[in-house]
Amino acid sequence: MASFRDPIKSGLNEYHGKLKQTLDGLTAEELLWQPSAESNHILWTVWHMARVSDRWANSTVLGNDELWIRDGWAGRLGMPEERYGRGETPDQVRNFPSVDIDLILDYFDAAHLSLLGMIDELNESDLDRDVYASYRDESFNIGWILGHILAEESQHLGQVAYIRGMQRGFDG
Amino acid sequence: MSLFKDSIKSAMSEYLEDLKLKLDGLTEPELRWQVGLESNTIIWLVWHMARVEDNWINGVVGGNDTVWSSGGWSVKTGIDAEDNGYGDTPDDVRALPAVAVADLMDYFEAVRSSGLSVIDGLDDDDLGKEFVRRGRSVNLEWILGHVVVEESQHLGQIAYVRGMIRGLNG
Repeated sequence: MASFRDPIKSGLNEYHGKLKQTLDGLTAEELLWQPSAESNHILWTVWHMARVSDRWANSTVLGNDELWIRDGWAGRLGMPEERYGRGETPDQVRNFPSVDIDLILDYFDAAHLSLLGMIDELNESDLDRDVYASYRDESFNIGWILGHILAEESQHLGQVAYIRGMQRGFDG
Repeated sequence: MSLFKDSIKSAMSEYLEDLKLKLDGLTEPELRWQVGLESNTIIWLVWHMARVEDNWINGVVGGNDTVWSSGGWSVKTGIDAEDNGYGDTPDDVRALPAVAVADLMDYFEAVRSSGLSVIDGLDDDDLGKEFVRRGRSVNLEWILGHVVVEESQHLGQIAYVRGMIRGLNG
């Protein structure tokens, strides 16, 4: 049966699909390019997007281990299990390991599927519930989280598109 | 919050409130700064965001005149009545008339206030309904998700442009 869960899922699929188009054909240099010393690059931004979906869905809302840890993505990418991206310094962004974008996207696909599954499991009566996010020492309302994931991930997609535009020009 | 629909409204409120924070204190030159000749300015992005939400929610879903048109905002801002930014060339972006960002935000607030009544009037029976826009048919689910995704993308771009000008915490 149709419900307003569907527009949320449609939006999640829209940014996830558009991200792939926006990344198409970019070289390793373009993925790591920064317009200024304190600006995020595309590779970091995509990795952070995947971490955001995984952490909100699997850890914060469902209270399970992140796929990052449970399925060994941190190890496969050679990155620390606690690394997430929030509050990172320009140095950390610049020194981000030159990992394979396809591997990050495989991780993102898995996180995205788990996020869609999480939303299917929720009922409207769950939306009022607060859940505790230990990494921020703060509680969040599940209904708010669903809107926030859509808004935050899309913001980062917009940044990826803008950085591509700076390098490739208007239609590049 | 008790309805999935409220999550959409919450996301809309998040990007509008976040936009106000990101614009806080920016000067006219900063609002019109371009990192490259083909890059959008912040002021153009703000205007386009308001026009996008107005067209989709008030125009297409609500079936009403846009607030841009009914509120006389084209005259108030000196911006073309028909243009909404879609397909603008780099020259069009640079040529956006001088307009106070406060006026654009007043327009955005008016768009939102009218749009919330449209959204509050929607129920489950409206899901699946098809709307035609630019010769393409899209359903209500797609439109509501798309509005949040597109608007948030532009907000993320504004935040990024601000960061290039002002630095990490500027």
